[in-house]
Amino acid sequence: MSEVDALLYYIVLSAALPLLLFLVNMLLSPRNPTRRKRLPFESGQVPFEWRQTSFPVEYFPYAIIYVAYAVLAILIFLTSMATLETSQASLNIIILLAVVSASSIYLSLTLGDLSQRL
Amino acid sequence: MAQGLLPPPPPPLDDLIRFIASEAFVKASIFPGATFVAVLGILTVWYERKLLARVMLRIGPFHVGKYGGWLQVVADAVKFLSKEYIIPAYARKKTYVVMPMAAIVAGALLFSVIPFGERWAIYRSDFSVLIFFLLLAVSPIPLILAGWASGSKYSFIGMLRFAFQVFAYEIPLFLSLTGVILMARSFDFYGIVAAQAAIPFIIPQILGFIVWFIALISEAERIPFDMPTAEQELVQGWQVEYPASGFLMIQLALYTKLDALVFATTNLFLGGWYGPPIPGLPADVAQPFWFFLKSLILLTVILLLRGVYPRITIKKILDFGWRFLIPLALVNILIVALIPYLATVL
Repeated sequence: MSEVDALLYYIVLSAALPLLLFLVNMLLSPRNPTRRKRLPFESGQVPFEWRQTSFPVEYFPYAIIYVAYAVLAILIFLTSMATLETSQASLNIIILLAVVSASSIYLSLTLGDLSQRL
Repeated sequence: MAQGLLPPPPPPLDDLIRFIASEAFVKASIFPGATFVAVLGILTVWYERKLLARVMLRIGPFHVGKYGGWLQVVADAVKFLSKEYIIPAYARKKTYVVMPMAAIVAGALLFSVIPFGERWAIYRSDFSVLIFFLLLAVSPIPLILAGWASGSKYSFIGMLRFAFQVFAYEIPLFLSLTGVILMARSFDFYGIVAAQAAIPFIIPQILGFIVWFIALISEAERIPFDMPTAEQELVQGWQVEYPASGFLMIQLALYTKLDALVFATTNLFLGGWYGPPIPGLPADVAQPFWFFLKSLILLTVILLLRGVYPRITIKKILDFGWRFLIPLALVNILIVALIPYLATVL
């Protein structure tokens, strides 16, 4: 099985490359950390405390749409793959796809008016 | 005669030579394996810098290397490697250090299933397209974790934008892939390319190609969809805290991913390695030639966008993905399903 061997060698080599880069960096670089160097970057301002506070995540409705569409995409994928096996089912699948496409076009037209999308 | 004079190599050395010369090791280490991927990343950066310089009427890299400053990228890499690896005060140390390495591995593994010709693939599977998509879906996770582990406000905002953008464009990518698989009736890159021997899929599935191409640019985080790493507004976004080899690894991972996506597009839509036969060239060389020519044209288009278009806002990016690309991808699948049905009815 030379192909499986090739895949295994490739995985080992691609995992070795970043380790090699990191080791070379550790060997070549100077090491004298100071407090100033370790501060987070904030465009030259003095960084202020912000660690475990809440953060307003906008675009939250999009996350919900993602969940709905991810399921839908898997469904469409599986049903369209069914046509690979049975050609009689193709009409049903065309009807399903037409309904889904029409509803997604309707959704995309109305999503712009959704009030809480920001 | 000289061979007879030399003593035969001792058995362990003999085994080592046989191992290095074996097909599996050559494929994994040289072409299309690790060396090829690393050199390709370097060449892509050089090509992008030269091309953008020409767009902006500059010269670009010039001094390092005899021809066109081609060693400039290597010099940059050496400079990155000789910088101090500073771990920020608020960072989660282990995640912060490990994630760029994981990003490289995830990016490089994309190459393991892409064929470059009938003989040139590391691993040939009946489900290689699905494996490719699975690896592609996993590849943003190290980058998102890297942004989160940096413990900086800029990184956090960039990471959030990145996550939303990747989620928004993964579904159109998947749906346009469905159209290709449906038309080729195969989950294998080889089967898909073989189905394009007559006409490449870009002609019947132009809608699907448009969706795939736009989603590809967004997945690879190129301008005009590079809001997560906006250099000017967000000072490199989720990458801002990464010094030295961490930054080098993230950049290498991103360019590797871009190249893998370009090669996959050539296989999926542009007819892979098919092209007019070249007299005097064996097929093993001519096939990668046509493959790389098509990929180079596609890569040039993608890189040119950076010189031509401005960045668009995150709201528009999300709107575009959800409200325009998904219906278009669904209509594409509908057309693909209709074509064989109409052929049987009419």
